[in-house]
Amino acid sequence: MEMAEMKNSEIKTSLTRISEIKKSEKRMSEKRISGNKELSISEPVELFLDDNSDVKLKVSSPEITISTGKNVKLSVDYVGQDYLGKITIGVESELYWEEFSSIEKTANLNVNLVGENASAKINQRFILDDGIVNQYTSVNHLSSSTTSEVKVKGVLRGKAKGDVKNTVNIPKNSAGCKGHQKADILLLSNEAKCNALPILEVENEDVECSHGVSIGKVREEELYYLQSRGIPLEKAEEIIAEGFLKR
Amino acid sequence: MTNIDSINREMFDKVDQHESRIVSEPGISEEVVRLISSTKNEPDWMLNKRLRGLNLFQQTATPDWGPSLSKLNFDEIIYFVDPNTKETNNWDEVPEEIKNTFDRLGIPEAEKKALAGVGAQYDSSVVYHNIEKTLKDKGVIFENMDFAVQKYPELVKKYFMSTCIPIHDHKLIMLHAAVWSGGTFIYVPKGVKVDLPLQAYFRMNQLSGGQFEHTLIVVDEGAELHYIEGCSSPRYSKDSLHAGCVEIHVLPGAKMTYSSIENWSKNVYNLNTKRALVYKEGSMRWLNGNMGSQVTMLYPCSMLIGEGAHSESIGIAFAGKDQDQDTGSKVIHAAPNTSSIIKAKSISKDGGISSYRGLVFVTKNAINTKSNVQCDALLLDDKSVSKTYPTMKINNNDVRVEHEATVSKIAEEQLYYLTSRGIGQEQAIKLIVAGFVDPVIKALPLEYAVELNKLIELEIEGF
Repeated sequence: MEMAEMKNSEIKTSLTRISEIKKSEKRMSEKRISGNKELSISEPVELFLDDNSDVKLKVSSPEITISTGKNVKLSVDYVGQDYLGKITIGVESELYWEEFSSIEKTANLNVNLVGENASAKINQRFILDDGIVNQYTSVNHLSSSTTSEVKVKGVLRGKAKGDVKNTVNIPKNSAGCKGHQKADILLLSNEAKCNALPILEVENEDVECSHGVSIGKVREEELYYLQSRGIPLEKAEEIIAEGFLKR
Repeated sequence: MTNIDSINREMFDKVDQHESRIVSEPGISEEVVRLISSTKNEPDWMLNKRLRGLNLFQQTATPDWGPSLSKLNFDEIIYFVDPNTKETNNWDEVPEEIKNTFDRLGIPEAEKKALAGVGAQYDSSVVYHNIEKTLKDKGVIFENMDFAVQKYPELVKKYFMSTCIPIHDHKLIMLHAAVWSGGTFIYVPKGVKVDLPLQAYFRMNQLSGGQFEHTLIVVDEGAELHYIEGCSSPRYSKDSLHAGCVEIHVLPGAKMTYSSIENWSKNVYNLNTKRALVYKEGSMRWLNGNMGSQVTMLYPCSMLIGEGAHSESIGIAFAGKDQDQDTGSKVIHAAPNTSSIIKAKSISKDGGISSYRGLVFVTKNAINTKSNVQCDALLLDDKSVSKTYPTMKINNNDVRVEHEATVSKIAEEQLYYLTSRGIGQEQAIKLIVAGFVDPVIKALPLEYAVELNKLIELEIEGF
């Protein structure tokens, strides 16, 4: 009976920020895509991907809504800053989401797996020297036999602060789902801070869910190894951070 | 607790025919608080603490996170029941009805067998207290909390709802401060090691009653203690409330293990607060089993405030039909070189909801912190629910914080393996569940391990 502090005022702040983004945007344009396509998207847009399409997107828009038909392959490379993403994945369709940033941001990604056998693979990486990165991702398994895998890797330096929140939700009628989350955070300065909250909400027994979080600094042995070979401390940390993010 | 063959829910659910001496009117008021205080002949500072608690309680809203408490009506609860009996340390003098209850629960047997001292709380007063003479000679105090206020005023005033759990902590603690009654006070002097576990059993008997026992434990420098609590209540048609408070002070170099099995009947709101303040090189170990209650909200917390302090928390929760088990563990790393381990297992069946809600908080100065959290949930049917909310707040980088959680059902292969060897379906499920909870059960003292295993087996019967 003492967890009231879990209501995070910082989450509230970032939500206000997102609603500000929303207000400032004009009405989204709507688009229908089919076949084999590669596109760059910088304006708020609502996309519909037709059955059997294979679409690669490079997105920098602060607001994006995508829905897919059946048997669609969707790859998204997100390169912008603050965003609100709502992705709906249909029957037998696959989402690959890649994201990397080295500036302050608030990212809010919401994925709904609505068709049977829909899947989502999400990779989110960040490196930050100052300010706050809010990385919020939720996956709703709204149909049976859907799978999701969310991996977050972050490096925080200087006075940077990270807030990572992941939710996997599996409601009553979704059977045979798999949901996995992993978050690894490297803190490179003693002024860096990180909050993490991975949430699992499972209402169906036929399920395989897991999450893992690790937060820590660079291992002394790794630093020692590089330093003993004449690499200065700062450079050594950089090499390790780079390797950590690539892994 | 040793008489395991006779354990079943009916045994705990039976209401005893016992006339209580003083029963307060339902609902809380200044009169009720003053009645409690004057009945116990308390000093002014305690009455003031109670009145401040009441005042704060009336100004504070009910928490709105976690399981819903909207059906819990604070005005219907009876806040004070004084059983018509005096405390004794001779089992034969305890009134027959009360003795029957405790006999059914197996308390004297347990004492005879292994346990060093027993305190049993019946409704609001401790009726029976005993402690081995050798411990008394070493200066160990094992006393009813009410009496401790009179007998050890300095110790109690220093540690009672002060630095560990202050009266303004949260709504239920404010209520507890106002109406607390009975419970246990333990003081282990410097360097004294208590070899056998001390034990107390709490039982709620009054219709729509509340139980607000206060447990205050001080383990002085270099001392060691293992304390065990068991809790139960009979089933009435009206909802009851248990809002106990456990405060533990683990002084430098001391070691403390606190075990509890809470098996309240399934219409009790179990909103309990347990916290330990762990000083330099101190070590705190929580072992918790939650079986009963309709709603449980319980998150034992260790505040590691001294360098090198350590905390370990092992918990198991079982949520059956209409049950919401919201449990977890909190650790606050507020000093360098501190370490913590949290292991939580939960089982949900027949639509039960079990949630893990925990916190690992590392302050800026707590360098070289290590924390490992593991929680596993098992869902036994498609009506049941499992939720995991592990919060991590890390404010320095010289840390190694790890968290892992899994949610799963009983694997078909395991079930197939066992049934193909001629083991019946129900027996096979029992075996798999036993294997799932085994790492937790192993950490419990023998009598409790046996009891908990038996209770879990009974709960999953009927497949």
